[in-house]
Amino acid sequence: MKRLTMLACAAVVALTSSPAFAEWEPKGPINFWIGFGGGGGTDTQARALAEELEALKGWRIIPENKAGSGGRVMAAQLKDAPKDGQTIGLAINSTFDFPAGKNINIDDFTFLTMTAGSQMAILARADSGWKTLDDMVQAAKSGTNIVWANWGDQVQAGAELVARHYGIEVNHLRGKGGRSAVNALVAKDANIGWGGGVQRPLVAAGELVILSAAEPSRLVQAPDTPTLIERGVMKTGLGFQFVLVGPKDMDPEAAKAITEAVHMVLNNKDSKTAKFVTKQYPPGPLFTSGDALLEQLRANYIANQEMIKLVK
Amino acid sequence: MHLEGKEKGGALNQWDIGFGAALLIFALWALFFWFPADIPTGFFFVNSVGQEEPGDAFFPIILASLLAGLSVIQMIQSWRDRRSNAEKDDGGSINFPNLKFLGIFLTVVGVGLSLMYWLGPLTVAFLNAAGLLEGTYRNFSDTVPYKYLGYVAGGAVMTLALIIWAEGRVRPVAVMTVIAVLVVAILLFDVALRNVLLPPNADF
Amino acid sequence: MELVFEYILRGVMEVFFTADGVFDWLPIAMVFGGLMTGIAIGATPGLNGPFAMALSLPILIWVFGVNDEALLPILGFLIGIMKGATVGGAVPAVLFNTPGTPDAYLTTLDGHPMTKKGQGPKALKVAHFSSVCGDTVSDLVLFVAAPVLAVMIENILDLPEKGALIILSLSFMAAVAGSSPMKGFIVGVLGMLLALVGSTLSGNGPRMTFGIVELGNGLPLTAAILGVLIIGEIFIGLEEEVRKKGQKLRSTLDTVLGDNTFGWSERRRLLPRIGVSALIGTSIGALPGIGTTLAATLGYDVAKRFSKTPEKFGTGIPEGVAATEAANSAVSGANLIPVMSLGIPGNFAAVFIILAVESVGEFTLGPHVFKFTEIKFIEDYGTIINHDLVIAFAMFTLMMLANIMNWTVGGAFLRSLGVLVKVPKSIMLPVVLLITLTAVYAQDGGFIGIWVLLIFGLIGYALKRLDISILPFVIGFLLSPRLEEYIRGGYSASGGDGLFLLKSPLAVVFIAASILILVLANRKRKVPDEV
Repeated sequence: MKRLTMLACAAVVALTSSPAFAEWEPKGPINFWIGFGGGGGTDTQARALAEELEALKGWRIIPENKAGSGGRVMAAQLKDAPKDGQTIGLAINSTFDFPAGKNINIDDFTFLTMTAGSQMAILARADSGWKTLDDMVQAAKSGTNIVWANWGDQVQAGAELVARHYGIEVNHLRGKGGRSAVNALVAKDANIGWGGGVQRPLVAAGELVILSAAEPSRLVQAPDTPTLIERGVMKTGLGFQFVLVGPKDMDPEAAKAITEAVHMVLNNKDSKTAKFVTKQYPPGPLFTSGDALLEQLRANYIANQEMIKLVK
Repeated sequence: MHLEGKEKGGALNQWDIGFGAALLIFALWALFFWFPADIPTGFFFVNSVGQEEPGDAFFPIILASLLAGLSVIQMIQSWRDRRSNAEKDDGGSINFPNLKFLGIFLTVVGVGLSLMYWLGPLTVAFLNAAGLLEGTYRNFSDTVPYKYLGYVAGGAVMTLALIIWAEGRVRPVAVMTVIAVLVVAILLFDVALRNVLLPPNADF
Repeated sequence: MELVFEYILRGVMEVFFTADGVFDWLPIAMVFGGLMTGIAIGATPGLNGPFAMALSLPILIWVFGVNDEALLPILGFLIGIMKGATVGGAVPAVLFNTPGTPDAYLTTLDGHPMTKKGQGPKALKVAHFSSVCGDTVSDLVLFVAAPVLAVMIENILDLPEKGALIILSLSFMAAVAGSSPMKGFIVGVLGMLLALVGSTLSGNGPRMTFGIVELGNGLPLTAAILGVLIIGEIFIGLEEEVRKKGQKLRSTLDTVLGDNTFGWSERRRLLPRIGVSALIGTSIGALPGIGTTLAATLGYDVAKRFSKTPEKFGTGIPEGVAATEAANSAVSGANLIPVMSLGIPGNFAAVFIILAVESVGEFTLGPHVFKFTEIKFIEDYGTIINHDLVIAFAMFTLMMLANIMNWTVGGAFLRSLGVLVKVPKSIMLPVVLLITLTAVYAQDGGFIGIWVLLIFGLIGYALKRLDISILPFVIGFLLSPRLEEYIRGGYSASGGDGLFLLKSPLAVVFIAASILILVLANRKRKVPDEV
């Protein structure tokens, strides 16, 4: 009986496309799992989002960190969680679309929406005099020791890929967290560094220059600088997007309601979440959701597989 | 931990040699059964940029081999000590009363934890069957009183049982203390800190 | 040099002001709270500083969260406990002849006779005075030694040497702590092995988890360490309680009070003795693994040997109390030298400082902390600065703050604590068990934390019963992931040379020294039997 009413309601909603009618309501608290540790960018964003969703909808949302392996520890638990929409998680695209390990499969999840993404760039200090990637390659070939700051395996592999493409040697400097690479660069511990988005004010201030972009499209701050894909170095970007996910076959009503609510928070420029995301991950919130998001992740997966084959 | 050793010679410290033997068995089991089944890449592997580097089994294998080697030395050492008839009372041991204590202790803790885990869900299931409530415990894991049931009952049973066992009698002060601690724990972890969950509510 | 002062100043400001320049009372209040808690805990037989630090850490993390701003209040509280407990340990030793910790046993030698003479309050004053003196000296040595050592180490040591250094400190700890160095080293290796459960550096999915997805990020660190340290201790303590069915502590506090003034001239007279003991304690504290007991013993022995009236020791003279308390308190500051300069904890208090630092914010301990990066401000981005260094100096500030509070109000609080000794263990231990279970559950978000806690509790119980030191196990567990990083990194950097550890002369020296220490320690143990 109850299910019938719900189906009827769903039909009405679909027909009138007025979500205010029979809005999905969680029956208990929503467990919001965060795929990374406390204190980082994902955690800050997720906790702000949880707070604002709670205020907006009156749902009880309990955020919880489940860190490890770039979000995969959380994902491995999420895929077996109940499908009632009361367990969701926040991770990044490469948690799902970078082939590593056997226990994570894109088809095991329901992808709700992106929230924000990186502006992945190869950076140099302005005083190095380098304007493009070619300048750096030139310098390396004439004997300059290149120290390349990074924060993880994937970006370090990317640096290695660039070095191989141009036939130069680089030394890698590993830091902790996205900010560390930019800081190392400015502190002159490194002369090249990856930046995931935090570099925006430094580039604006003329302190750093963007030598190339590692996103599928050119960066907001460097519309004239060709990407690594355009340069033929790699076939896919190294950038990342935050994705909100649920387990496979999650209640579609719940998925729709949660996605809409998240979009409402992100669309509100004065919300804590939108402000944080705009500052940390310019140009700002991303809204790719549902099937479009799934298609993009599938395409990424294939591209990543090809890249791995290529370097091996 | 498995700490068994068969007593043979009169002055042989069974705990010394048993310790070595137990860890040797553990190390060998790890090397030949655990790691092969439970580590995805081997001693070396080719990383995503095509370079060979130490795999995930690299350090575990080194450590387990070291552990095996040291255990053998430990066993040889305690064997030699036996022959020189030295150190009769060196080192500790785990005797039957110790094991008996552990047995009772873990039983009490086990009962307490089971209550903690099951009382809430069972109560909700029972009320469901009686038609007084609708929905699983998952939906009531943030609703008073269900969310406190298991924690309070399990916590009280476990702590009180241990205190009464240790003191050999029931004292009002013990009961009061346990109640006070449970109340403070609920006030602190559930009321003051909104995003922290009391057992067992994060498991549902 | 200017840069050094700039960093020190920023470190001090970090404690007293928020980012917006508003006066911040929170860290100060936390240090005070921690200090008082620590004194009370230290004064309760059966409880000690690391125990209280272990219990407060999860609670502090819930209250303050894990963001960068949470670090100083949390560290402040822990540092307060660490220092308070050092001082508080004297109370039961002096008043009731029941040393709460092994090192306090030496305090009873002269402290309790003083109480019998009706000089209990005076004995506490002497203990407090010497304790705070020793602690302060030790801190000052730490503030100078840690940065200097760190800068040296960071310049000299590369990955293989850093790896070898961890092995060396582990074997040193195994050799000095506990009855059997060999068994100590074995459990150190076992701890290292268990710490590898979970995530991998290669990013190829979890390892050694038996398919338990919750362990994908490793065994929960806090649960494992609380388990082996606290739960193991609770098992042991309860077993003893069950065996003796709650005997009562007999208070022998005399109601007749003698002369209890402790004036400036007498303080001055004791100062040289305190100074010697403080130096002994500091030197011992700087070495990893050697506890306060050795410091207290040495301090007392040296004072007795060089005294003009050695026969008076043990009859209840202030010199005896001062010599012990200054020595064992001087251990605590210097004990942080290895942890601040190398990231290698040398005792349990340092283990909890490391745990706090690893769980909260982005600060990490190690030689990289003391890197004096140029400070640069950039509009809209913030200041480019080695923030770790600022935090390190802020930590030093917190320690000095604790010392000042200890000087001023600690003594009075200490003398009011005779009551606490009466909390019966039979109630306290089960209650602590419940709180720890709750704490671990909340932190790890599931029963997995409780299981790990109990299993590691059993390991702790077994090690205790078999008379094997727990310290190498805990340190091995803590440092293993880093050692793996060094070894793998060193191996890769050497171009896949299997003997890379032996290619660096310094690393060879470290490895040789660790083997030598183990062999010597093993032999030394046998000497009494062979002679």
